[in-house]
This record gives sequence, structure tokens and C-alpha cells, in this order.
Amino acid sequence: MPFQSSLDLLPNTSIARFARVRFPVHRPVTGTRSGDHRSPHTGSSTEFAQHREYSPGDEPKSIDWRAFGKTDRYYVKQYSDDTNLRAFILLDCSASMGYSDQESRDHHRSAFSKLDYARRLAAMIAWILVRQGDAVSLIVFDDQIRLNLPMLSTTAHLHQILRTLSEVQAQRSSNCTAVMHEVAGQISNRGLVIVISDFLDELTQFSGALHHLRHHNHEIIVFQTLASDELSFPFRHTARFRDLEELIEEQHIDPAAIRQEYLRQINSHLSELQMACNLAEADFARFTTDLPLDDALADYFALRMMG
Amino acid sequence: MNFLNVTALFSLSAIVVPILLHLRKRRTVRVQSWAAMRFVRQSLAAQRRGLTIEHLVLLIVRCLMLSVFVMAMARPHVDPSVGVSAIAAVFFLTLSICLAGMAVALVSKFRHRLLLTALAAGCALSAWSCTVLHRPELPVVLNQPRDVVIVIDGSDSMTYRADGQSGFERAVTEAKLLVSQLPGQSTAATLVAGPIVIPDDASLTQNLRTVSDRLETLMPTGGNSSLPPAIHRAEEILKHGLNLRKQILVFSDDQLLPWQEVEDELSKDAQRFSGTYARVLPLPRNCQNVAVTGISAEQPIEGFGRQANLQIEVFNGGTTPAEDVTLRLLVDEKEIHSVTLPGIECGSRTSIEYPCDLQGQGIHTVSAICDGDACLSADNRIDCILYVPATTRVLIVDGTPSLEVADRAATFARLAIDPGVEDEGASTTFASATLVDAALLKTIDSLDAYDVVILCDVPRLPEDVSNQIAAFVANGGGLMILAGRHIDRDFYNEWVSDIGPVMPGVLGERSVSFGEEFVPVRFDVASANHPPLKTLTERGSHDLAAFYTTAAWALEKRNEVELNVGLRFDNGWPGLTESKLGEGRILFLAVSPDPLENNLTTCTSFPVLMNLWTRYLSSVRPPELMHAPAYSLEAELPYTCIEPSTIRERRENGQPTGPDKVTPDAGFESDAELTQPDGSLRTVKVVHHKKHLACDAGTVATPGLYSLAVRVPKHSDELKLPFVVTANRTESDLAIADINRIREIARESGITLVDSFDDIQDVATGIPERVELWKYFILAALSLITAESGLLGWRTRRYSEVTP
Repeated sequence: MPFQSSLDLLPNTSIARFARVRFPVHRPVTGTRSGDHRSPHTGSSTEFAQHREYSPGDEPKSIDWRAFGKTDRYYVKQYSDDTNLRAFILLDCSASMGYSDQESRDHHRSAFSKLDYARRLAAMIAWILVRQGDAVSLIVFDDQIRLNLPMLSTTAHLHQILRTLSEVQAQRSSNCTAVMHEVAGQISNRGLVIVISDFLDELTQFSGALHHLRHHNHEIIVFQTLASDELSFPFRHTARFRDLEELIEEQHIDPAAIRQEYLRQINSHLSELQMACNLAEADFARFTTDLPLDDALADYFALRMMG
Repeated sequence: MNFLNVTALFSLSAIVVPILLHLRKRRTVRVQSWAAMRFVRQSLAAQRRGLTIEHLVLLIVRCLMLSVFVMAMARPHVDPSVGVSAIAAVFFLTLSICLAGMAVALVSKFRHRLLLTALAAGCALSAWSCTVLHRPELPVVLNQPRDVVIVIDGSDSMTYRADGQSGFERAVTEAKLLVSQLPGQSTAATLVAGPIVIPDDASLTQNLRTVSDRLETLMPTGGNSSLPPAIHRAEEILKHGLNLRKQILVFSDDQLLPWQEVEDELSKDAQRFSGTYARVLPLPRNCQNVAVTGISAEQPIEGFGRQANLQIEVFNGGTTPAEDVTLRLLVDEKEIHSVTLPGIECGSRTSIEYPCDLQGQGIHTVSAICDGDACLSADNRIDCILYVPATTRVLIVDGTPSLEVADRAATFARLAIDPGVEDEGASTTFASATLVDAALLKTIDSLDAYDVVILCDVPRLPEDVSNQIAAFVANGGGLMILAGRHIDRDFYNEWVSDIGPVMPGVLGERSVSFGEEFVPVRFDVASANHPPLKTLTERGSHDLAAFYTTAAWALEKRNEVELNVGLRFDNGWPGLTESKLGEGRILFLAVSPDPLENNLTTCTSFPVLMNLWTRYLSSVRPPELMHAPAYSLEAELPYTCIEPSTIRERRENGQPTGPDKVTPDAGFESDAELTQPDGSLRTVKVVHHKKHLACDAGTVATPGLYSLAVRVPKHSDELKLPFVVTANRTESDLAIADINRIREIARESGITLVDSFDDIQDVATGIPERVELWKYFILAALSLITAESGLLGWRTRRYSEVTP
């Protein structure tokens, strides 16, 4: 267990590195109070949004008299509204997330599993969002939602999120698609939905789940965390492979013999996942556990800043 | 295909090593927890067949590699006629297996796989055609060293002389020539196939001069021939030879019977050694041979002075009828009868009966000789030994002298053994009995004058007398205890000699039935297994079942040692029990011939049984004096003239050393001269025992009368003890086999028949017998090692090339 306490999830080096980073959001969001993010509604900011024909009830002070002079019709000036962000972090804690690289285990290094990587990622994002005044909700799931923390933007809430993340255990099987559908049905206001998982289960319905979320005008970010072994299949000796989620029976395998086919299969799966995200206009990022999280996250933010 | 080093084939068990490793590898692999199991399963479904076959092919190649290597170590060799084709077949078969394995497991492209499969099929076809179609000519290589065993038929028929030379002599002459022409480094041995194969310890030697000298001294054994055992023995000898080429050269004649024996014995063996060559020396087509083929007494002779009917069988085994054959009968080398037979047809037998009187006890030699022209002289005489047993001396101890004579058991025992009335036609009885009161027994200085002591209802004995009787038994005497109502149980249970208890068991309670509850006890005749009882029951006429008694002693086992019960009562109690004490026997009968208690005295079987039991106890039984030919003949000759004192005296002189205690092995050794049927003498070792002489006559193959001359201590004259080695007189049948018939038998038996001396000379000096294949098997093993390495390398490359 790499994290002895909740504070281990946010090392000082990471805090120092991301102290000035803001989480960019590309779509308007519906917040509960004013904030730094664009709202789909007009509001009281100084930034002009649009003209609208006057209708009875509108305040006369909002009439654009200059436009009346030009067009002989009454138009009202509207200004865009800034609101805070409502972010939902969906963290997969199924048993498959408990896998750590074989090489790390063989060399007695601290085994950094996919789940460890994912909860650090979730902690960093939550910290950045809370720091910039946005509200964050953490949803922990496997084949169903196991934990759902409320949507708050306080520091105390951040500490609760960190505490929860440090206590999460990898268990049971995963059903990401069902959970995404369920979350899409529960939240009405448009916000940011961040899904962190290894996405190794079936993708047949995954695209539908993404579209369900998009239908509610949420901005979606898909973070896939994988172990490097899963991409390279580096095993040489015959072994009995046992499914972490215990859905498939144990198999006696000569890894060298199936490596080619395995890599073909998983690459096809990853392409399919990326294609589904692109079609649903969801942002997709893949992190492997052998890369330092800070570097990987910094790269991701840089790319996201560029649009 | 045969192997020079068959023991190496045991290494084939090493094949289990790769199989076990394969199975162990499957069983002890590590367990890998894995998240992306779905993709592993999908990959596995596509690859499983190829994987299984790959592993199987690797396993087969490894097993094959080991097998071929072990086969090479076993040094396989084949006939030159199939040698080249076998080599090619092995090569093509190995190649075919490799190609087929590669086609199935390694090549994924259909065109390549098809090509490899076609090549594998072609190789398999070539292997098949090599074994079936290709028959190269016999390569002839001269002067190759070889191991040769020369088998010469030493039977009577080989002693027939034609042109001044017998078949045996011709065979020896030709064999000597062959031995002298054998290539350098060759080894040879000789065997004579008589009734047994001699010598017993023949072995191959490289010193051919010794073999030639041994051939010079070879003599025909006589009797019948035993070619199949001789050939088998030769094969055994050849197994120890170091040369690649091995041959058995058989010299025999064309007598039908031996070849029929060869057909019966050898044609069953399909995997016989193929280097056997036979040279047939022809017998004359017209010959006369009358033989005496059998002589025997009508029934066992008991007691001298009685007439014995002798039956003599004469057989004409020649090819022409015999006229006026004179048959003479000799007893103890004295002619007692002569008869002229008018005529005997070819192949027919005639029996003659002659009653003769055998005077005096002991061994009598009876011989029948037919005189007349005959090809073979050895079968004109036949001998047999008839043994007339001596009178058994019995001492009957009467334990109840105070009773009326008619009430004493001893009276009836004596009447049964020695009635005192001579049988009609017999000069004496079988046994002489002396009756003595138990109280007067101590007055007898020595029991050496008796063979058997019978205690009839003797209550108890003084200690010195009981010790004297125990020592008598231990020295080979017989003791019979008839347990009546007067005997003292405690005395008998405590009667112990220096070497053990006298009683066969522990005397228990005495069972008595009286009055209304009278339940008589009878003998269970079905339980009779004692030798004299078996003799009686086998004769059929006995009235043992009519016996009953109102009282009997129970005998229980001592120290958990099982009783040797020869007859039981119908209530399960032992009736007759036997035990051994030293060299002597003890019989315990749980009843006595007491007319007040039982009806034993009225049974007609009682006197017969008493005679049989006393004869049994005195060890007077017909000695075995007719022996079959043997490698180590140990004859026991009846010999009663040495007293125990002589043995003791000899022992004290140091022959042999040891405590002065009579044991079954007691005796002393001396040399004796053995006269053989041909008149030659040889010295043999004999061991003198009290009642017999043990003679180790060594290898005795020649049938006929043997005579052992032994010098007896305290006797001035030499004692002549004869015995007979029997002959199988089928040899007298000189029916000739047609050469084509012999050729057919030889072919079926895996023997190559050679027609002339030149041919057998070619065989012994020219044609190589076998071609070794180990080099080709080594090549095949190396090919398989290369194939296995290539397969592993290809597999490693194939998988390492894949990058994520």
C-alpha cells in the first residue's frame, strides 16, 4: 500500500508544480454560484454576449438605445454569466485496477497499481478544482456505485475526498458502462464528468453511455490507466493466468506463443475505445503506470490548454 | 534386427524423463494474476491447437532423440541382406517424422505446409519401399573374425562305421579342418550333443589350437542325441562372444527322430538366432539293428529267495528283418538264460518274460544282451539294478509282562511283524523280531544289533535305558511307541535326549468311553498321508475303516511346533505322528494293539502296517540305482556294513573334525574307482554314512552299467556298488529322413542346411553375418538434436520478434 495517509496522495512536489495550473473547461457549465467558468446563461458580467428583442418585463435600462436609433426597434443587451464548475470524478475500483507491473513486483519495488495511480490522479484533479473554487463530487464504483460523495467545493470536502481515496480497495468486477448511464440519469445540470478506469471490460455499450452523458451537455474526460505489462505482455515462461476479477477461469498459457495475438487484440480494443471517445466528443487520455503522474498530467494539461 | 548390447536397451526407460519434465512443467508453473484476461482468452482460443501440437512435436522429438541414442548404444545389427535397406528405412523414417512435425506445428502458410506434408509422405513411402522392395546382393567379405560353436551329434547312430570311419569321426575331422581355417581373432567352442550336452562348462576361446586338441579327445556319448538343447546352449555361449559374426556349425546324421525333435522344439521359436548351419552325414540306406530296449521286474521285489518275473523288450530298429537273434540274460554278470528269437520284422517289438530267482539280499545286476549282426552295438545290451532288501531286526519291548499273554500288546505286535512261520516259497521273513521285557532291557549292552525298537505300552524306562534308546535313534535307528493304557504320561513328556525331546509332541489327556455313552473313535482314512499308509491305501485292499477304539491318547504340539501327523482319528486327534531325532525316525501311535480297548489286532491291515512301519523306520527302502544322464550325478548307494563306531573312529582321526555328536551330515570321505560302461576308470569322491554311501559321480552322459569300487574300513576286499545310467532307446530306430524333409525342417527351424564340406567351409570363412547400424542411429540422433535445437530457436525468434 503506497499511501499510508490521505496526504500521501498530494505530495509537496506535485502541489508546488501544479500551484498555478487551472483546470480548463471547454464547454459552458451550470454552476451554483459565480465562478471562473462560462455559463450557458446570460448574467451580470461585463462581457457582452448578444442582443435580444425587448419584451415586456425587461428592465428599460438594459435597452440598447444605440441599436434603437439604427433599427427603430427595441433591443436589449445581454452579458455572459460566469459560474463555478461542477465536476464529477468517477473512479473505477474494480479488482482489475489492483494490477501492478510484474517487473516492479519482481524487483521488490513499491508495487504501484493502476488503482494507486488512478487515485493520485483523482486527488490531483480534485485538489486543482477545489483550489480554483469549483465543486467536486467523487463517485467510486465497480459493477455499481459504491460511494457517492456530495458536490462541494470546500477544503474540508477535499480532505474527505482524499481520505476516501486512500481507503478505497480494488475488488469485484467492473461495469463502467452501467455506472456511467446511472450517473447520467442522476445529474441534471451540465458539468464536467471525469471517468478514471482501465476500460478493459466490454465496450459494446460504452459509446452509448458516453452519448448519454453528452446528451445532458456534460463535458467528458476519459482517463484510462493501464499497467505497462498490459501493453507489452512481457512474460516469457509458461504460467497459469488467473483473472483478477474472477470472471474467467484460470488458463495454462505459454505467453510467448500468444503474445502476438494478445497485442493485436488489446491494440484493437484501445483503438475502439479512443474512437468511441472521439465520436462522443469526449476528451481521452491514457496513462500508464510506468510514467510519473506529474509529468503525464502536466503534458495532458498543456495539450488541453491548446484546445 | 538384433542387439549386441541388449542391456543398453534398459536405458530406454530414460524416455520417461522428458515426459515427466513435460508433465512437471505443466504442474508446477507459477500463477500470474492478470487483469486483461479477456484478451488472453481470446488469444488462446486462436492459438491453442498450434501450441498443443508444438509441445507435442517437441516432446516427440526429444523422446525420439533419446530412443535413437539408446538404440545406437545397444549396437543394433541386421542381416546383410536387409542391412542397407534397414539403414535407408531408418533414415527416411526419421526424416519423415521431422518433416511431418514441422508441417503440422511450425509452418503457418498453407502452401509450405502442403509441401512439407508431401515431402514427409514421400519419405515415409521411401522407408516402406526400402524394407519391401530393395534386396541387394549378399556382400561377401573374407577373413572376418567370428565366434563359432561346433556342435557334434554324439548319439549311437553317429557311431555307425562306413568305409572304416564312423560319422562322429568324420564330423571331428571336418570340424578340425574348419577350426584350422578360421580367420584370425576368431573364437571357438565345441559341444557334443548326447543324452545331455557336454561339456557343461564350454566357453569360447581364442586359442584355436586348444579347440583342435579338444576335438581330438572327443568321444561319442552314446544314447540318443539332443540337438535342440545343444543349439540353445551354443546360442548362450555365443552371447559371450565379442566378435560381430556368430555361427553355430552342427554335424549330425540323417536319422529321422533327432530331426523330428528339432522340428518340435526349434520351429516354435520365431526369433531364433539365424546363424545356425547344419552338415548332415548320411547313414546307410540298408541296415540291420536289433536292440534290447527295455528290462524291468513285474513288481517290486520284497525278500530274497522269491521268484521275480523279468520282462525284456527287443526292437528291430533297422531297415531289414532280423533272423535268429539270440537273447542272453545275465544276473550279476552270470548267464542264467539264453533264447533264440526266430525273426523280428522292421520296426516291430517283441517282449519276453523270464522268471528268475534272486539269491541273497542287496543289489543285483540284471543284463540282457542280444547277439547278432547289427549296425549299432551300443544298444545290444541293457542293464538294470534290482534291489532285494535285508531282513529288518526289530526289538519289541513289552511294558506289561504281568498280564496274560493274550492281553499283552507286545504279543500282537510280534505276531504281526514276525509270526515265526516261514511263508510258502520264501526262505526267510522280511523282519526278525525279538521280544524283551521292559525290566530286562538294561541287560542289553548295545542296540546296534537292531534296526527298530518298538515300545509296546511301556509305562516308563530307567534313565540309562531311555538315554540308550535316544542315542540309538539319533544314530539312525527307528523307534515306535505304541501308547497303551499303562504308559506314564509324565515320563514320556520329560524324555529328552541331548539333541531334543523324543516324543513328537506333548502327551495330553487319555480319552476313554464306557457304558451307555460308548462312542468309539475311528481312523479318518482320508487323512492318511504317511508314506507306509499311502502305500497301503494305494494298493486298495485294507480294512482301516473297520478299526475302532474306546481309548486313545491326545498329543499336543510342543513349543508351537506343528505336529507331523500321518493319520488322524475321526475326532481330529492325531493317531499317528512322526518326528525326527538325529538321523533316526520316531513314530507315535496313540493306541496300542490291546484287544481290551480296540480291534486293531483283528484288522487284517494290522500286520501289513506293522511291517510297512518297521521297514520305514529302518530306512529299508529301495534305493535309487537307476539314474538319468546328468551333469552332476549324486548317487546314494545302500551301504550297511559300516558301524557307527567306525564313523566315530574316523572322526577321531580327523575326518572330519567336530564334536562327537551324530548329525545328519556325519560321515567321512574317501576316494573310489568308478568303472564306466566302456571299461574306463576314473576316481570319484564318496562319503561314507552309516546306511548309505554318497557318491558324486560328476558328469555322467554315457548310458550303461557303472560300478563303484570302494575300499571299506575293516574289510579286506573292495566293495563293488553298481548303478545304471538309463538310455533313451528311441535312438535304436534307424529310420532315415529324406534330405528334402530335413531341408524343410531346417528351414522352419531357422537352420541353414549345407550340402557339402566345401559349403560349410565357405560359411566358416567367408560370408559376414551381420551389419552394425549404430553409426546410422547416431546420425539420426544428431539429426534429431539439430531438429530440436532448430525448433526451439525458431520458436524463440518467432515470439521475440513481436513488439508491442
